[in-house]
Amino acid sequence: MAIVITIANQKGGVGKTTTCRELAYIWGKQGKKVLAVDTDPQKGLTLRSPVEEDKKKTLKAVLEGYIDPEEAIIKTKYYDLIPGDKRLKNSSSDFSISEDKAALKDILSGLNYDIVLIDAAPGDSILYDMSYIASDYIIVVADSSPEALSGIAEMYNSVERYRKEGLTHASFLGSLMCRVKMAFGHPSNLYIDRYNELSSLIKDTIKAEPFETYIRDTDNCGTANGYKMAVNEYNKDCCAALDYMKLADEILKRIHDISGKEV
Amino acid sequence: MEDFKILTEEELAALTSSQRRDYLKKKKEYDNKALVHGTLAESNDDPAPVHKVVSERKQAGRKPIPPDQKKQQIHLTVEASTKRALEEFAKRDYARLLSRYIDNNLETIMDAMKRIY
Repeated sequence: MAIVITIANQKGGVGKTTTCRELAYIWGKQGKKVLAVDTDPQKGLTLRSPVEEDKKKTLKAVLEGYIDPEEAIIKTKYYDLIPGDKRLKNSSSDFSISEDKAALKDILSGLNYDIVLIDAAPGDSILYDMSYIASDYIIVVADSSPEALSGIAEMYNSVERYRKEGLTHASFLGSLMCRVKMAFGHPSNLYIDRYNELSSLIKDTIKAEPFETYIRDTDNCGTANGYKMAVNEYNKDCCAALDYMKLADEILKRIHDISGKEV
Repeated sequence: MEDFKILTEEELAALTSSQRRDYLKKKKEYDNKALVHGTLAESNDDPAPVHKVVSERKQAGRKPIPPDQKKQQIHLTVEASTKRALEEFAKRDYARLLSRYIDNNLETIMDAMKRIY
């Protein structure tokens, strides 16, 4: 049975997709069977993966029941991908919360992977509800912007509501600070208080400890994305690549500490 | 084995997403049962399914494709589609570069065109 992890924040541009991509690459390279699911209408994960898309075989077609998930899955060297679809921006009118909220969970339950990573869409939509219900764990990604906090309380309340209804057993695994500005190899003094404050606020909201690892800001991430490469593939010695390697281990250790499950 | 109604595209489009997913699940189960059922039915009297497929091709007047020829066919298909993809990419890239050149040098090009025409 796969461990399903959603990488979430309702604000776009905080580092969700890059985090999802890196973790899929790292865990895949370590020999785990990883599936990444792109629920974002902007298809960031799809566009940054070394894949050739078939516009008829996307997550939307799977959710709408036109094709089996196996038909949509694209294999890359280290992970598999269910590609996103820009028409998912109409998901609130295309899907019904009462009938479709468990759709993603049903779809993923029939697949055989060790880890499933869901790149959540920014904003608030039924896709988020589908992701929460399908997940075992949720990782909140944030950067130093004030908007990074917006929506986290709503996210927490939604998950709690679905837990009480028995639709999910998802829990918040922790929060991750991304794009941490550095000065001479250390978090910049200008930002360190801000990062600590944000981490503390998020911890109070989601009731989960922030990860010790934080992802340092580097141009290598953007450049790697342009080449459709993971930053660990593009420049494995850069600070972000090293941080993501550390994060991948920390996440698995935390899952093991909570559930006793070895992935 | 009970019959399963295969829906047309129009009938599928008329369903909700939830109904389509249920239909797809049931169709998959039916297809799997049919496969097993078919294999089990054949195994009593006929040779193994692989031989059955070959004999069906023979019955249809089609000779089995030899493995070497099959490999070559696949290779040609991949090569042709790769070549097409590269040509398309080259076209798009050229168009993009040309478009950028025109944007960056519009005044020069307009002056030249005025002189020519």
